Amino acid sequence: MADKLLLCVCATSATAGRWHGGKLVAVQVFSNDESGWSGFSGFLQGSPGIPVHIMVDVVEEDYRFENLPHSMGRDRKEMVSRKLRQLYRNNPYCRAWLQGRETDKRRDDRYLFAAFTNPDLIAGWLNVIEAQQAPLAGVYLLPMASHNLLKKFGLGNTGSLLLVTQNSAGLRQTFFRDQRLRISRLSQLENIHDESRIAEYAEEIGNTQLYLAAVKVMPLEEPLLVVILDQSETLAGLSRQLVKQQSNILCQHFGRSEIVAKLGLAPELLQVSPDVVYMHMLGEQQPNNIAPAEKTHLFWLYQARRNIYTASAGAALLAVLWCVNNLYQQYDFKTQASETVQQTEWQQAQYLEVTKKFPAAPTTAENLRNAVEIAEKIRQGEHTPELMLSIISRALDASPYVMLKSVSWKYGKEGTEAELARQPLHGVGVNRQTGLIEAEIRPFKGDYRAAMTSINNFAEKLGQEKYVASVNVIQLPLNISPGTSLSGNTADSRELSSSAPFKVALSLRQEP
Amino acid sequence: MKSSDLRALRAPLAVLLIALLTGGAVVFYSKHLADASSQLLNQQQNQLREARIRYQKSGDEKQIITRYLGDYQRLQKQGFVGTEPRINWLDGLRVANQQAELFGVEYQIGAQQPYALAAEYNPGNLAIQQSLMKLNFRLLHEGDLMRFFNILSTKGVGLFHLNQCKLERLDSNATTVRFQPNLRAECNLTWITLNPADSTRSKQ
Repeated sequence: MADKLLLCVCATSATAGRWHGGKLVAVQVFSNDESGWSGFSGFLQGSPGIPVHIMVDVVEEDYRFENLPHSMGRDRKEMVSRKLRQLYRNNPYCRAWLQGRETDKRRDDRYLFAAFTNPDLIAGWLNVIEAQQAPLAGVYLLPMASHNLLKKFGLGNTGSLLLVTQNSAGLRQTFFRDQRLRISRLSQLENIHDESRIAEYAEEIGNTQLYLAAVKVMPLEEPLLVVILDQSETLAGLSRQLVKQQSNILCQHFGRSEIVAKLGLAPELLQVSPDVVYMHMLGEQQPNNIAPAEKTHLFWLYQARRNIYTASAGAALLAVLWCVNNLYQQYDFKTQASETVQQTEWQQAQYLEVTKKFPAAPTTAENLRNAVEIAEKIRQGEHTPELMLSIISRALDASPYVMLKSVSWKYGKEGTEAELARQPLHGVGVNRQTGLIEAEIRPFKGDYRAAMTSINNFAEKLGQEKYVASVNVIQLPLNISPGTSLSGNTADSRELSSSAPFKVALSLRQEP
Repeated sequence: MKSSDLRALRAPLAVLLIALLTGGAVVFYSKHLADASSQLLNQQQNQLREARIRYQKSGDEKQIITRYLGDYQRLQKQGFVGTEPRINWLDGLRVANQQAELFGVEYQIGAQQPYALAAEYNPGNLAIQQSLMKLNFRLLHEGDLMRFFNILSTKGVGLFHLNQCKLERLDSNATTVRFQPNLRAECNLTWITLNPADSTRSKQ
């Protein structure tokens, strides 16, 4: 829990203390004048940078109950703000609390408007705080801090309750109805003697009861529980006096030892100042702040700094946790990998043990098999021109006038020659044997008809071979196509032409 | 928010920025380490799986070695497996020329390169290489062509494929000499070798 500086200011004095480790420590009392402010300045210097919470216990306070039409959001904010300006004009130390809703048809919102009406009373203390650049966390009305006291003393279920305490400022009476603060009064009873104190206090409580009846907060005949927190052990007779005066009053008295036990206070602190009861409650839980935002700007910065540092610590912690998780994963993976390596080595050792009985091999078994199978496939795919030459040879034997000039053989995708002789073949574009025969008719004496007959017979002989897929005469001794011009001299033919050249393309079947 | 407020928050914002950057860097680096370890584990697990399969199949492996080792060694002797034996080729050409009684063989051998049709043979870890060759020689008659190649294939020159051959009749004089070349042959062939150099030996 963060440290805080708590200051309870009344008209004549102020009690300061430091909230450390969930407890109030180092309580000092200062007079509400320049010497007190100076002493408080020294007190602040001892705790630099710690937020200061100011609680005021003064008669210059105002509490009002008002009903406003039910509204939400921005409308509610504007309406409440307008009402505060109307009630307290330029006083910045005011605030409204929504207390619930009425039960009638309109179901108006019930508000408690409260204000500290004499800001000058704390001006000196604020000046010291500003001079020290200490962050002011807020200004609170003392009765607002008393709500949690009810819980501490187990007084939660009481309908009408008047909490009475004797503080540095005087007799504080705070009235609760159904656990909600309705009104609070401070009576400054100065110069009263101990013997008349009980009577005076009893009279003040009676006056409060009359006031509550007058403002119709509580009927006079309604039972009222008066709870007396007697920090100084001087109000023991007050309960008897009250019960004696009023038949409808119930009293509950808590002495110093009970207060110390219920709140967990150090007993010696109560001897320093009776205000430590409320300061302890303020330290535990801050009520609603009534100070304007400009007064608490340094505290806003203080909180922003703390939040950013907290976010930084959170980010660093998250990164550390994430990093630890990653490193644990890495360690886990490495451990598994190490175990896997051991298992692999064991498997390999087993394998090597087995392979010692294998015949010595120059490479892996897979490579041995692949190499042998590839060699076999290559041999199976081997092609030679032998078949084509034998086919041509047989055709030449049957064609005595055909004289061979050259033969080209090719194995592969069908080339230019084969394209010329393209027939409706199966699997055009696959590897096959193709050939080109260049030959001539000899002797040739100008008889083109006889020459072409010999050429056609030769081509026919080739085509009759069972492995031949196609035969095509691609060049004749004479171009007899009607699409081209033709010229010559029959008289000169015997002397000029001694041969009739031609070309034949052939293609073998894919798998002869 | 005023500029003075920003100045007041400069230090905590710097701390936040440093925390975010440092934290991000640390997380990134540790994640990188974890990922690297995860990858390493995957690799080790794959190796273990392979080692198990290999051990389980060691019986089959022995059978394969027994069955194929002899053929493989013959292929090595023939020059099909291993480094391309160009000396063997030249010797083979010379001897085949003599035995086929040819009139000399002109040759051109190109640089070795990956075999164009290697993918059709699923070679696995083996690298199939090819060298393209061109041979020019003269023949007495067409029967000498195949006789020459048949002799060549027995000379430990490995495997080769004939791609193309052209036989052309030579102009002969009127006076016929008994051993005079009548044909000129020009052949293109692919000389194929297989290189297991990158493969893992069975006994390591």
